[in-house]
Amino acid sequence: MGEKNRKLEKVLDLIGQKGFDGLVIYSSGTCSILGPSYLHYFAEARPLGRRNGAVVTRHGKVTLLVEPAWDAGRMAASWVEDVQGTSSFPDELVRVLDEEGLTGTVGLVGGREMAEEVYEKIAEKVTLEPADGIIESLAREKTPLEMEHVYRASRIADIGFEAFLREARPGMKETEIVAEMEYAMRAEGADDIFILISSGPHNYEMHEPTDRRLRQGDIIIGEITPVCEGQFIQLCRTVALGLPAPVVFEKYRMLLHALDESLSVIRPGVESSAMSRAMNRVISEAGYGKYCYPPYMRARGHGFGVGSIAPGGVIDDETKTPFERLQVVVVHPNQYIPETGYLACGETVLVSSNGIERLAATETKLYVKEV
Amino acid sequence: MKTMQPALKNGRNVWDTIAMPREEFEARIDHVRSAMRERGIDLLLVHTRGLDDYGDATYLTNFIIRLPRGILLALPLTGEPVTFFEGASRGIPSLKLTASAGDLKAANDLAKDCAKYLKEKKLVPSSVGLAGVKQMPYQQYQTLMADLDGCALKDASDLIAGLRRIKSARESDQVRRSSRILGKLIAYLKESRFDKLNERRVEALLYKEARLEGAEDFRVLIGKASMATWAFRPIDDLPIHAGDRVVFYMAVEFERYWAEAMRTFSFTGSILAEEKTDDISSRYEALCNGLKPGKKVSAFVDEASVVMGAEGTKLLEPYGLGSGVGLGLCEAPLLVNESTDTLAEGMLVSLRMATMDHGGCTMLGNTVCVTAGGGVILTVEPPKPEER
Repeated sequence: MGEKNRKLEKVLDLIGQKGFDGLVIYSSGTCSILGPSYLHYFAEARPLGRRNGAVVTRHGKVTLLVEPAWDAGRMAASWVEDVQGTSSFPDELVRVLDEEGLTGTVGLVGGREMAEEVYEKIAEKVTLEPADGIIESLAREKTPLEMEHVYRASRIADIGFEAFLREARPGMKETEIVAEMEYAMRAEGADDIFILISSGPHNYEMHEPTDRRLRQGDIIIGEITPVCEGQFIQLCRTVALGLPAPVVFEKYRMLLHALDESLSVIRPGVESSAMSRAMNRVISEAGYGKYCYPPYMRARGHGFGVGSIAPGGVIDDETKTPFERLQVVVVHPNQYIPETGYLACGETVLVSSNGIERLAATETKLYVKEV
Repeated sequence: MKTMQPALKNGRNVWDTIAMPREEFEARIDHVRSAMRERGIDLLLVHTRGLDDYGDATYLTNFIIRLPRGILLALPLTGEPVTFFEGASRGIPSLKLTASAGDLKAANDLAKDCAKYLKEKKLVPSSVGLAGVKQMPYQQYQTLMADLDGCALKDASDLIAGLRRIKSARESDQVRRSSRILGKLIAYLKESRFDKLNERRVEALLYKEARLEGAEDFRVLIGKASMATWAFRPIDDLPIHAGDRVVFYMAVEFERYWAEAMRTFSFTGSILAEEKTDDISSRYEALCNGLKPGKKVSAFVDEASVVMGAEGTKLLEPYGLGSGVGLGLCEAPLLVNESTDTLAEGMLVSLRMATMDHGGCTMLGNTVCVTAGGGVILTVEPPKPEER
């Protein structure tokens, strides 16, 4: 039995358990670093337009509706056989519900993306009940195909960092270095790129690139995040242009220690807050506890995935969700330190049976580029 | 044209206050407030979502969301506008560098946080104009409606969109800047030599060139126009073979303003040779000449069908003849038969054309400015040294 049929079978089983007439899996066509893409996961094709949805009946009939209509041919690459293009999504969704005889309670997956203009139309026909948990439970453990995308994205992240290190030099604009990194990663097959950067003698945060030109003595920090088939992998790295002050090495060593401590607690069954607490403990003991929490710091990590980003979009000291095997998690003691400014230090790891597997090959250290 | 939204606007994030000074935004807010008074609206709530349709809020404050999330802007008749955005407060200092007016507030729930603020500031109950709120996620919409209980709600979805139809001189200049980048990309495609060509590589090269020219956002679609049936789609891991006819749809955003262009090429095995015969050029010129102020859009669409012929019109049907371009790639006026709009000087539109020959389909598209003398193409290649 193929993976696709397994997905449908599990969905049908869960529809039955919940007593739903059917299921609507909705997508606004966006791909978020901090949110799952349920329809992309289920249909194994990423929609392009603003309104898309799959209708699954409890008998196993699946219809995929996509907008704009001209995108239906591309979306036919999905395992779903009945792919229909539309230019009036809400009306067509109602038509499909009618044709399939769905009149009772229908589960809604991806409702957080569903605009009121769509919801009000279908709510006239059926009773909608939030059902994100159906895909979440399916997607909890990544499939072999997803794991291929994870490793592919990891290799591309390494290539992105190589470009970062190779191209960074005085006189170059932030926009130019991002252009080079993006080129390197797209040429290797990244579908999309998420890059934040900051440069200067004392950084306060990472942001999108500006026209600032790099100077000798700058600290450059970056989040390098390629995407393959919806799977993000992130590297957080710091490069000094020229030998930095000893205090920068000292504080970076402290962050590496915080990273190691936090990685050492990760294993299946451990509450994910333990990772955040381990990190914050090291940084607090170094005297920077105040900078571990808002407004300076929000999350100490988060999950990545297409169908599920468990253990969540925010891992902080309060996150109860436990780690599970085959979760992909970024762990980043990125930190503002008054003496050095913001430093970037972070890894994406795969939760394994007894710990973690680092996904990128790029060494975690303070990089110094001679200029 | 719909394209895949990125996970983040990765490109240059700069507000050039000489090109688009604060006074421009102040004047816009004044215009919007005049319209609010005329309609008896005390408070305008503008919702935008994602990285394509942010225009109504950006028009007032230059603020743009960098992740594909939501914004809810509250503009009272007096006092500063306040923009609520889905995101973390940590980024506010850098976000403020490109916002022209008002306060920025990070929100976990746009509806709840905004409604709480409106109550605290005693801006509700009042007469509230709503723009774009039906595009809010339904849970947020329902929360907002419950919190606006007691207010007189008025549809104001056309209020800012109407003001955006005709561009100011500064807006036209911004679109010219986006168009200039597209012109360079077209020239780059025509002038580059390739041993082997695959879609990924072309996409990566185009992104790099666009970013180096300052593109805040860049989109590209491809169509293999020599195939019997084809459609535009995002780039894939596919080769481009010698003899393939490919159509590139490209769109560039520069400092918030978009422009688009389409070009058709045949890959010779080493270069991308543009498919542009005299017949195509003269037909496109005829289309541009017809873009005259005072003409009904519907009449122009009819004329365009005649110029393109039945086959061309059918080929273009899924994508449309074009639309207004500015803070969005698809804004008023839509170039459709059903339009009740009239063309006016200062409108900027995308204008697409399709024709069919023995080798397949050829598409040509540009961003065009409506002038008294007809449409002027903005997405032109830079002059070669000998032409300067």
